Amino acid sequence: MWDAIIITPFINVILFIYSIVGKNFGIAIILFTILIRLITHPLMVKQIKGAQGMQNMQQDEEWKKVQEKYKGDKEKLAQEQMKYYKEKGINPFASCLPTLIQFPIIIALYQSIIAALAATPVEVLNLVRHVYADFMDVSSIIPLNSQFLWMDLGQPERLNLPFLSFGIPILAILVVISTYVQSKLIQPPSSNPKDQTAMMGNMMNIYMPFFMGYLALTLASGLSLYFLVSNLLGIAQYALLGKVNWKNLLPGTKTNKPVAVSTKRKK
Amino acid sequence: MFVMLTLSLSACSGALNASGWPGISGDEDSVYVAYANQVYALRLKDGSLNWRYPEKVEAARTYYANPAINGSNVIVGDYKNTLSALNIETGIETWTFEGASNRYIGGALVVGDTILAPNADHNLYALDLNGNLKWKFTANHALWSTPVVHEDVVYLSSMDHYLYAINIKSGQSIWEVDMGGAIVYSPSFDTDTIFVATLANEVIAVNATNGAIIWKNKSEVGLWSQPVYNEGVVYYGDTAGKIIAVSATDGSARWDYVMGEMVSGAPAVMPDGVVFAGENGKLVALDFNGNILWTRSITGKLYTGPVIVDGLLVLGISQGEEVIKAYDFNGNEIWKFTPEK
Repeated sequence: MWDAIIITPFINVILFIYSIVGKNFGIAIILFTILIRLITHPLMVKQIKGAQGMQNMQQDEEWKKVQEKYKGDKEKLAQEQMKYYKEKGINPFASCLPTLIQFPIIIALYQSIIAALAATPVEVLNLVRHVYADFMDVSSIIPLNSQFLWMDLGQPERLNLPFLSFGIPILAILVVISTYVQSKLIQPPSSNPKDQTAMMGNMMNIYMPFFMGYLALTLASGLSLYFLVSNLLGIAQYALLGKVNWKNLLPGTKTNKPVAVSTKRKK
Repeated sequence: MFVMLTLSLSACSGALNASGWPGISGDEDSVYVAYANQVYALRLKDGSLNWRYPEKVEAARTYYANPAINGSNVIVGDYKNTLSALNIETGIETWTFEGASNRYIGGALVVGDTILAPNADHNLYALDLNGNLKWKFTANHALWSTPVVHEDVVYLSSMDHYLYAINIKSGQSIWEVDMGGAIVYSPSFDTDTIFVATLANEVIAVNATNGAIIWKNKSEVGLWSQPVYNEGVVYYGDTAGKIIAVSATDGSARWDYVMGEMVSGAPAVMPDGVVFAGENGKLVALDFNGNILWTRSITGKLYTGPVIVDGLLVLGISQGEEVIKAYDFNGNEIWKFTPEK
C-alpha cells in the first residue's frame, strides 16, 4: 500500500528526472528534493506560523499570569487556555498537523532515494518492479549512472587527494556544518534560561549534527547529498519566511533573548 | 519531529546494507557458502560446520559472491572491496587483495594460475595465485557476474549492456558486443556459442569467435534468469513464472512450463532433468521434455537455482529459516544449514 501509493510514484519521478537531466543521479537527487520541498512548502509555512503562535503564547505576560493564577487547578487552567486560543486566534494543531503530513513525505523521499540508488542485484530487482513499464524503458535507465562529481552515490563518499594517504569525507563534514547551522538559525528564542524545551534544543543542536555526520560518513553518498541539500533548502525556506535568527551564528551572542510579544486582546 | 525523523532514518539505514543471496561452491568434501557477514565451510556429507570466516564478525563486511576454489585456497570477495584467500582446510586468511574500489558481487573464477575477480568498480582483476595483480580489464559499468572461460578466452557480461571477449593472458579485448540491456547473471557457454539474458528482456545467442549475434528471443515480460545450455537446448525462465526451453541453434521453442512465480537465476542441470528455482521458494524439477519430476516448497526467497556439488543440489535461501538446503537428484532433503546467531 505504502509502496504503491507513495514510494513507487516517487521512484518514477526521480528516475524521470534522472532520464531528462542527462542521466546524472546527483542532479536528479537535488532537483527531486527541491521539488518535494516546494510541494510541501505551504505545509511548512503553516507549521512555522502555528509554532510561532504557541511560542508567543509562552512568552505572553498575560498568559503567564493566568498560569500562575490557576497553577493548582488544572481543569480551570485548561479552560483558560482554550479561551486564550480563541481570543488570540491560535490553532494548537496548526503546527502539529502539517508536521504529521510532512513526516511521511520526508520518509518516502528518503526511502525512494535509497531504492533508486540500487547497487546490488536484489536492489535492482526491487527497483525494476517499481518502474512503470509503460512510462519508462527499464533497459535504457539501468544501470544507473551513480557517479556525481568525485562521488559514487551508492558508496560512502571520500575525496582522495594525491598527497594524502586517506580520503577526506567532504560530504559528511558539510552535513555536520549545515545541520548545525540550520539548527542554530531556526532555534526559537526563549525568555526563560531554565526552559526545559530550550535546554533540550541546545543539546540537540550539539548532538544532532554529529549523528547526521555519522550517517553521512557511513551511508551511501547519495543519501548524504540528500541530507545536505535538504538542510540548505530548510535554511532557505526559513530565511524566505523571515524566521532565521542570523545572530545565533555569531559567537558570544545570546540565543535566548525574548522577543516582544503583543499582549493586546482582540476586542 | 526532528528526533522522530532521525530515528526513522537510522532505523531505515538497515535497508542500505548490501543484500544478496548465498554464494555457493563446493568440491568432493565441502560446500563453501558466502552469506551475510561470514563465509562457511560445510561438510558435504552432513552439512556440519567445518570452519567459518571471519571468526569475529564485522558488521559492515558482507559476503555474497560465490567462493572460488583453487586447491589450497578458497577465494571470496566481499562488499567492502576486499578479495580474500582462505586456507581451504582451516579458513585462515592467506592473503588479501585490496586493489578494488567497490563490491565483489560476482564470484571469482580460478583458471590455471590465474584468478579472475569481477568487481562493481567496472574492473575485472586478473591475479596470480598469491594475489598479485597480473592485469585488469575495465568495462563501462559494474561487473556483477562470474565470467566463463574457454580456450584462453574470458567471456564477461556486464551491467553496461556489453558482452566482452578478453584474452586471458594479456587482458586485451578480443571483441565486445552491445546486448541492448544490462546483464546481471553470468553467460552460459556451448562449444562455440554464448547465451545471455538481459534486462531488455531478451535471451541472446552470440558467436563465441567473433561476437556476432546468432539469434534473439524477446520476452513479453522481464527476465531475471541465467540461460543454461544442455545438449542442444537452452533453458531459462521469466518473471511471470514461465520456464522455457528453446533450441540452442535457432532459438525456436521446444516446450514451456508455467511455474507460477518468478523464475530466478540459473537452473541446475541434473543427469535426468533440470531444476528451476522460483523467487517465492518453489523448486521444480522437470525432465528434458518438460514433464514434472518433483516439486518442493521452501520458506524464504530463492534468487538463483541450486548449485550441483558432487551429486547434491545445494540451494541458497534468503530470508528463510535455513540458509542452505541440500537435496539429492530425487528431491529428497539430505541436510540443511542454519548459521548460529
